[in-house]
Amino acid sequence: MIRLPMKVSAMACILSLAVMAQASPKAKTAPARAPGPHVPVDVPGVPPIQSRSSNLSDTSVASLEASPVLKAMGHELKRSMDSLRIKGRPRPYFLSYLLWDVESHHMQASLGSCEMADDDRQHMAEIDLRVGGFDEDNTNFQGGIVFGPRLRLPLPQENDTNLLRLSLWAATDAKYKVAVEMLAQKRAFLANHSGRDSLPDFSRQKVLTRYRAEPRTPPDTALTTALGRDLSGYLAGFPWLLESRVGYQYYYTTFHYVDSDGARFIETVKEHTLTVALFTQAKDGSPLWDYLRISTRDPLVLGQGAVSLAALKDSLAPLLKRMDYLRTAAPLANYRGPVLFTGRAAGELLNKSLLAPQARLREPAGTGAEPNFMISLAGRKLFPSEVTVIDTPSMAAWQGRSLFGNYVLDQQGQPAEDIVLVKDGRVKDFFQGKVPVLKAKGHKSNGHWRYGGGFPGVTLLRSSHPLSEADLRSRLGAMGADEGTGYGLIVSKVVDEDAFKLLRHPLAAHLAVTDGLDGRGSFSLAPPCEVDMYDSRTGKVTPVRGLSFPVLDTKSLRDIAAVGDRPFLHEPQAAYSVLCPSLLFTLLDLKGGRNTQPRLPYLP
Amino acid sequence: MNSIRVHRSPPRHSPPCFRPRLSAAFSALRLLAALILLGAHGAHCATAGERGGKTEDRLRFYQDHLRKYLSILQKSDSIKPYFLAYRINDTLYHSFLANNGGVIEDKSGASRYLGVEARVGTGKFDNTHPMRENLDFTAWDGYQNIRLPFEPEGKAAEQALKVATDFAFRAAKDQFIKIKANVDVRPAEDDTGLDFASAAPVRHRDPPSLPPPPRDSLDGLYAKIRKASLLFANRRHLYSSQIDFNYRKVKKLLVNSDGTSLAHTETLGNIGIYVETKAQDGMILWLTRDFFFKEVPRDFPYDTLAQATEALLRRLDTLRAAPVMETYVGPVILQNIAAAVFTHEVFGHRVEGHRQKAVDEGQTFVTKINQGLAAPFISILDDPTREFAGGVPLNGYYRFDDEGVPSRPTPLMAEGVFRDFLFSRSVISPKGASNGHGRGVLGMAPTARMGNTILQVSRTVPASALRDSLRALLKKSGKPYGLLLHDISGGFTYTGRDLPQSFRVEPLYVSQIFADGRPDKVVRGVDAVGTPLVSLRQVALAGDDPAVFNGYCGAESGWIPVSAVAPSLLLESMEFESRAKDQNMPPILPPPEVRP
Repeated sequence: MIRLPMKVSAMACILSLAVMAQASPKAKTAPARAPGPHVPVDVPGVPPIQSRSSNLSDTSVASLEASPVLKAMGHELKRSMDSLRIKGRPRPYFLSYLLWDVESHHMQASLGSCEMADDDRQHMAEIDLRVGGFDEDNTNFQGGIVFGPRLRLPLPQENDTNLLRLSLWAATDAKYKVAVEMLAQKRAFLANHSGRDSLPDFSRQKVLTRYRAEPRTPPDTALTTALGRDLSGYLAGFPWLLESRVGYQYYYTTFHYVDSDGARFIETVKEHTLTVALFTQAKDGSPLWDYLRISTRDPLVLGQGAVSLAALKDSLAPLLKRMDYLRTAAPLANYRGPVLFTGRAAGELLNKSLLAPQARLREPAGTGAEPNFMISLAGRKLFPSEVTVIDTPSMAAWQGRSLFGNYVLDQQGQPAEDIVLVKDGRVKDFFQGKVPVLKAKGHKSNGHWRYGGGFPGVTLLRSSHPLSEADLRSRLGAMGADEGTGYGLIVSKVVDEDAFKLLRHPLAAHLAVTDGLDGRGSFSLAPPCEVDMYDSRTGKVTPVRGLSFPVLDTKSLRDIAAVGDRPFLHEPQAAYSVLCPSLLFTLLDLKGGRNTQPRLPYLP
Repeated sequence: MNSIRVHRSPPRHSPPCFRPRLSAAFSALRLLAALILLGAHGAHCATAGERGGKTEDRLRFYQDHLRKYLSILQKSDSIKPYFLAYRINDTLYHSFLANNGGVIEDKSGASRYLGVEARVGTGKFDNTHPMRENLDFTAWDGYQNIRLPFEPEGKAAEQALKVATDFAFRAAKDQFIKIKANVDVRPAEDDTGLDFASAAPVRHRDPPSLPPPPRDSLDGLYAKIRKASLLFANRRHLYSSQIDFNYRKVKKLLVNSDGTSLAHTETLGNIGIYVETKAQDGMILWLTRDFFFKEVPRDFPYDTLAQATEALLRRLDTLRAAPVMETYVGPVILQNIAAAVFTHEVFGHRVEGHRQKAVDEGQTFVTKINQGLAAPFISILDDPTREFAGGVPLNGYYRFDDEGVPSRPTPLMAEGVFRDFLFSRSVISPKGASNGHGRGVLGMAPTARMGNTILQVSRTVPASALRDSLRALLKKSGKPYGLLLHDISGGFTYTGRDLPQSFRVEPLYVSQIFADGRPDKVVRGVDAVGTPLVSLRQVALAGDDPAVFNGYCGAESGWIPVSAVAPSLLLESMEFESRAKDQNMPPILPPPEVRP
């Protein structure tokens, strides 16, 4: 089966040894230096960075020049820029190719049997072709659909340059024809509408070249399979589990990039992820699940340390105990009161409220276009004054482990900059690429364009008045007493997309329900899978079930009453890193479970 | 679903050739079929010694669990299952695609998938009874196509079986409650048949067969395919091309609560050549050539491949330069392969038994038993027991259908008189029985489908004489030309009542035969259309050149391999309509230069 490498997974960049600036054909640019790795001093408890430089292979112009793939892409790009034209219509003024070459290994095991141990290799190409000019081109427009040429030629499994060129040729032809018509649609729309923004559609930025190839570290497939069998076999000893599965995935992705401004790079990223997904039903039929996920850029040394069989069993023990308890516990009804987000859940809340909305910041022209609410908050208060949020793609490691969010050049070939997103509670900056989003002169990319939009690197949230975890819980209890509930809730884990994919049980789909759509200042969180009740009087912590989040509003962020002093690492889709401490909300709503639930199995 | 399609090539991993022509629904079906039939994933985690497991042990595992689970389910609810079946397909496959001397894809693997069928009610009336005008958003989908470890069945298989059985029962129960209400509030049905006729239990094990050759042993064949694909290089107007190799060996296990216990193997393989261009007016033009086989032809001659490739390229050039033809009605010769698809679309789909039960189906032939429908020299039978025809392996060969019923030749039309329908265990008379045509991909309920549909003639003329007869018809009608359909891509037909009972046959290569004896002229841009009862009567003469169409047919129960065999036919009249045309220019730049 073709498994498209759509998932933003093995996407991590390693810090470079060098960035080589080249003279742009149109603008002379001074050689730029990549920012060196550093530890943000304002993150409490972060140990010194362990430099990864020593593990990296060489980087040189020669390596870049020698790449037959890059050469083939360059040939096709030049041919298109030189000759692609339709009489009376604009020629492309910008063209870039980003080629993904994804090597992977997947293993899945359940109840002691290996279900899959599969090596794969796939290619995928992203093409950015623009007609018009920097001020006005075919993009940033949401109009109708242009049904362009349907000729698509498959990319080869291996790096066959003839077939790569052939595929790029067909796709570029289609992109160009669609772009010409889309520009006409946009111009027609603008001719009859007033109030278009004054922002240019695209910008000229630095022209850089870079070569960075990490060594491949494919897993020992015999070891992954053996661990899968052993660990899933252990889970067979919990017959009340309706499904359990162990998964391992390794990705080694090489990005090849060329554009018509002269930028070129080759960059590799890696991912090693071990996941265990657990699923069952409570006595009333409602689905219950939990997961364990260990995901790193560094190779996982299976059988040792945290990924030894014994350590993994230990890590699973509290999850199993919680699920077993919850099977018979009564579900909680609708809740309004104080909530403490901790662990990965805190990072996910920051992700969904502040980071994810920045993927599409630019408001497109068009009848169906919606302005991005986040951009209107520039300079405005979003968090309480004690909160500052920064994004530091230059941060290579945390507590001795490489971070997925560390990279040097973004996917438009621009150098990643460390930026302050929120300072003293006010929105200061955004993830920006070559597409201007702010109405300010002299737009400059801050190197945060990845995976098709504004994208985080390593995001850190800190407070000027942090509290210890113990103090946070104590305040949670007090708030619960004041609210009249007599308790507060602690949310520590929400449904994880990657782990969720391991589940095949027909009832697992019930877990995927997330309320509403994001937009206009609201955001959605996946249902929580680890929620506890914190008793105001005794401080006792009891697992609870049956709750989910309604659509949340970013206004709620102002209700953050306190922030923890210890960041938790959350790395969604193994693509970026969020270091966020616990966040205590004064008042939030959670919905109770439905009255009707799927019945329990007929077959014991 | 009332719209049915047949295509000449199996679902491919990379379907650029068919994407433009398939609706979204059919694309989804193709993808599903590809996933199921080609064994989408490789599973290399089993060691050589344990791969698969012993057939007898495996069958016993499923039989034991079937008995146990059926017994529990029959005690657990007031609505009880009366039938349960497990189907397990082990697929071993090789797949290879080349273009311009390079490799697009080279994959091999193994997979095991499970499908469960549960029925509640009785054989007379059960949960599969056709529902009328009821759109339900609370239906249970069941749980099908469950991937199992490719190793001797253990706890993982047991767990999957348990969940799948549970949910198949839930889905059946859900359907049954609703269909009972549906029947009570709707007008009485004409159908007096059975939703599930009884069938004698069958016990059969194919003798052990050799596994497919290892991937390494295919290097030589793949090298020839790569070399032949280099013939595509540097052709200005060739926009898409590939040569693909597909081989799969499917070991099918089936156990059911009637006592059937089956283990049999089906193999299919083909090498397919595909070329595509675009006329200046935007029309997409493509041609294919397939070589089918049962065992991997490691010594497949390069020259054969190269000659076929060159011939296709020559034809494609001719076609690109050919004029677009206007709409037409008049005499036509369907060359043998085109005649085979005509038989499949015009006749075959309308004699699928389950279509005679649903009130929204056209039921074209339901009242036509023992009535003359075509010229008396024509007979049609469907015979899945034939493995070869004229040395060509038949796609529609199988020994047991997907309900475990032995296949058998079924005469459908004898000397022009309509005789019978194709039946799965869903039948249209109270005493009816399956004739071994219940087919469906794993996870979809089997329905009556064709296998090898064979049009036989008792009176033939030399194929070349058909031209003379066509010219005679032209002179008689005063028409300047008739048409010859050399090759077709496939076709589709509507069998539902909500749309006209029409069919379309999509020719790939058509030429005009002139009444005045001028040389034939290749034309493009038309599809043959018609309605069944009229069209069958148009067959005036048959040639002596029967040939095989091998392809895949998509309908309610998924994409299944089928064959049709027919000689060339002369039709007194057939209608041709303009073909839908892509509204995009050919690529602006020539394809990039290929550097071997």
